[in-house]
Amino acid sequence: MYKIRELEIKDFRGFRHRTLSFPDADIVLVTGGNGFGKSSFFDAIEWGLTGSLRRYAASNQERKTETILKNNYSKQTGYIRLLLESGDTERIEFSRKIKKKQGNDFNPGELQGLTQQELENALVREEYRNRYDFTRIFNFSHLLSQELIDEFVRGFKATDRYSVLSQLIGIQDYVQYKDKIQLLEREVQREKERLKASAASLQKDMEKYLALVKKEFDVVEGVEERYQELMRRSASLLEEDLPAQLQGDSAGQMLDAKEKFYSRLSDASAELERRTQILTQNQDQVTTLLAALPQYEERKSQYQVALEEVDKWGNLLKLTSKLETVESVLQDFTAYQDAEENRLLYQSIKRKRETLLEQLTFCERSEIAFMHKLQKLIEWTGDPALCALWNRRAELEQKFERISTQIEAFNAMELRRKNIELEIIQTAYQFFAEHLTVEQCPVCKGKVEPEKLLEELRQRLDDEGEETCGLTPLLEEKNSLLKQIEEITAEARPYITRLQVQFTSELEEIASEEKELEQNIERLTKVMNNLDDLNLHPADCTIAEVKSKLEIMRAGLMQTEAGTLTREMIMQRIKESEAQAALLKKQMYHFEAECNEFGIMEISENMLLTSLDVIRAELATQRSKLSQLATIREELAKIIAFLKNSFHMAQFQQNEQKYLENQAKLAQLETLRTTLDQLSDRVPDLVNEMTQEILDHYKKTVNEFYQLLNPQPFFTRLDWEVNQSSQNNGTLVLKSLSEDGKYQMNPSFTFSAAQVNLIALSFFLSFAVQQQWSKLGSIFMDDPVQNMDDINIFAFVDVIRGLCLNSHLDKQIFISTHDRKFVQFMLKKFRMLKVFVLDYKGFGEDGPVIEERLYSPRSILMTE
Amino acid sequence: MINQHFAIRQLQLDLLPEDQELGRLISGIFYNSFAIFVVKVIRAAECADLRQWSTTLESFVSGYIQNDAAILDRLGDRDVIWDIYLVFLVEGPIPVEVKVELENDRFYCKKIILPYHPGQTLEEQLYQMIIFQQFTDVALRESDYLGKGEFLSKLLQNVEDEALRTFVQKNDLLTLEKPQLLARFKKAFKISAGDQHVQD
Repeated sequence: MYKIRELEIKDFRGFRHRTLSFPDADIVLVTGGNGFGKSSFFDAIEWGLTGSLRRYAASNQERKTETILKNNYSKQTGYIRLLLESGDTERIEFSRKIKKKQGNDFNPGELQGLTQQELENALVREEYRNRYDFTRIFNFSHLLSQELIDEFVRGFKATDRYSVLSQLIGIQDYVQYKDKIQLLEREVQREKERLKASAASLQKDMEKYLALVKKEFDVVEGVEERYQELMRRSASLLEEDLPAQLQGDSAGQMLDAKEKFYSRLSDASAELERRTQILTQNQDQVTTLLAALPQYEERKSQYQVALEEVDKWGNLLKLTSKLETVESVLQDFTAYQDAEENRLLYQSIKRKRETLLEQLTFCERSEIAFMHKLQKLIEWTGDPALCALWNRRAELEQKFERISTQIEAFNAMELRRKNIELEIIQTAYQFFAEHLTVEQCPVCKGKVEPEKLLEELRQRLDDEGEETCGLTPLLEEKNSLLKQIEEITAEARPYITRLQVQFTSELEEIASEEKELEQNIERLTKVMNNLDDLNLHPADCTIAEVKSKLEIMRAGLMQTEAGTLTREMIMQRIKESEAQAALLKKQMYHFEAECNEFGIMEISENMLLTSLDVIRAELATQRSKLSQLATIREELAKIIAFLKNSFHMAQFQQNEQKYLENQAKLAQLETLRTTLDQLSDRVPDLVNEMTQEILDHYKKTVNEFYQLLNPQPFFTRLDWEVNQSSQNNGTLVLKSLSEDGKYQMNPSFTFSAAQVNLIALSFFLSFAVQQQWSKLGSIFMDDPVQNMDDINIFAFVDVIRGLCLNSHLDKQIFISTHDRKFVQFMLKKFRMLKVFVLDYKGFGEDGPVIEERLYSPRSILMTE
Repeated sequence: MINQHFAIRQLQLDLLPEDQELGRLISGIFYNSFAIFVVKVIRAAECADLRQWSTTLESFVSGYIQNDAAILDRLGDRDVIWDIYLVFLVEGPIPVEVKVELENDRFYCKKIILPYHPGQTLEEQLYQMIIFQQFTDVALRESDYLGKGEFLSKLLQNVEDEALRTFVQKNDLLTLEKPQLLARFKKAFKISAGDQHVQD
């Protein structure tokens, strides 16, 4: 934030020449008696920064003749020089020289060092520059002059108050949009009036031309009647309804109807032309068909011949095939002769092979019982050695069976003995378990020892078992028999192997014989099939008869062309005849297809002639219609040309076109005017809405300051109403409310001077503390405590001190007062702040006598 | 966050034996970097005696703080006598005339009469009510000002004519002089000197 570091005042207002340097103090107190130049000090700052003094701006008449800025005792041109610094890096230095224009010096003077724009750019943050006029709002945003304190609540009209505040929030300038938009609206309205006048004139001329056109119609006798007649004729000709009449009687509409009708007739004519053209083509086509009819008929007979040829050669091909079959049968006839014998032999061999295979397989099967296998082999071979083996083995098996039965009986007996023995021991155990207390045998009176008795019992039972056993000799005999049986089996095995070799050898011998017989049978089957084809059935006759019949058949066939022509030659002839027939069929098909197009299915000269007559009759009708239509169109074209060529009609049409354009433009302008009207109405409302919205943000802070300054014990809250009904500007009416909001009044008419000053102070401090748009951090208050009582002054000082102690604020506060006691009080209250005092001791021709004092902050309260 | 200048602490005074009874009547004495707050809670039953209490405690301030060099030296700055606040926290309704009368009496020290909140400590009540406190809460609000863009956007929100929207949104519209403005407008909306109709 920029703060004032140096102020040089030269021949300005009450000053002659003084340079004041301001250290980095929180507060600058300007004190001195009335008339010593305190206000000139603030004037110097205001004029230096803005080029204007608000308090004299309204005095239009007087300021024209009075010297306002220049020091009256000086003959030199005065100036103000200001040095502003922001931190250690940014600084602005410039001077403003008083300049006399048109007999007075109340003007912005001459800025040196930078331009007014550059100065404002330096003091207004970039993002706010298009909305804030530093010069206009400096007074209230930074400077609270005595006049403003006096006027804000009571002196200002509600509109002025609204204006000052809306300028402070930077949107007042937007009201100008209303003027600009209204200017545009008026221009649109003017253009509309001009177009309306033009439209009226065009309409008048159109009426005139229409009357003239109608008159011309009357002069050319019967034009309209003739047109009606043409319409009727064409409707009848085209077999259509009459076209609908267009509504209205303007010449343009009349001509338009006729042109549309002409266009319709042109379309109909084109359609007729097309149909005539088709009919002509049909006529030519049928005529050509008539001429080509003989050729078609000749082709038809040629086609029949070709088909017959194909049949003939086809039959010959069949004979050739038959001859080939006969030849084949005769060639293989020997096979046929041997057929029966071969078949029997083949079946015998086949059976033998099956038997051998069965025997061989039997020998190889291991699962078959030995005795059964041996028995079968004996059956097949009758070998006595095998018989002897079989007998020996049968005898052994009987013995073995008997011994096995005896062993099983012994085993069953042993099992029963074991069970009885187990039962006796269990009973003995049970006895001892139930009579453990028995110590003395009731029989022998001896001492009872159960374990010993049980062991004795077990021993006796075992001994008895051994006495009944006689199994061993039986088992030994059984084993001896088994051994003998195995020896017999081993003895028989070489016999079986030998038989297997024998069977295999026999199988190989008959295999080649069987194959030869199979081939013979195959050839025979083929011969039999051929005989079947030749319709010869060997079952019905002997072999000799068959052969005789075949010989006769061959002789017959050899006498035909089949005997002389080869199969390939016949195939070639068939192919040629088929190709000839296909070509003729194709040529005939084209002719037939063309006839079919005309509905002729059965082609004859009569049919073609009848069709030609029909086409000719229709063609004549169409040509007649076409000719009549051409006449009608010609006449209609003349009527249209007449109407078009009419001068008045042309004039009318031109005017009509312009009139339509005029009306369209008028409609467009009316829309534009309506929109502009709505916009211009919206501007003040919108500015008011936005102003109210923004001002509402300030209500809290204004009330905070107001309550701190505490001017009224009962009406402790401030409020305001922004009136949006005004079109040019809003009004801001202040309200003072009781704590509970039940009571309210307008402070402008009820509050004392000190109280209204406190309201102005509340507003000023609220905006000055919160403003973000300006980079100037200096706040100037010229005699802010005028009229205030002690308690308000006390509160004001506390507020200022609170502001300075608030570490967020970076402000340089200038306060002026004539009251030295107030200064002393402030010095005591601001003892923890850095305070710079400009003490105006007196005033003379050399200007004010000023003493500068700097008070450093004293240490703050101790801690215990 | 309390500004360091405003942070308050309790102050213990060494009273003479004969004055200790008076001292006990005071609810609490506090100080911050620049002021002393003598606090007295006035119960509902004592409201009628508020004036009397003011006189009594005013004497206490005068006798034991403002005129006791030892205390003032302990406080570090004798000018603190200009910054002594006698705060009455009153339980029950406060008659407006009594409040006005007492708060306008700044003899010896400034008096402040505030409603008593039983749920809060004396320090908390001072933090909420002392006049300086509110500045610590002034978080400088970022300017909520609405810009020109916002203004034009709201102004033109129902305008469908794109040409008109473009025209009004021109940056220099407000600065254009009337002839330039109208010339530009006529050009944009094809407003000419007028079409002459066909004359006979």
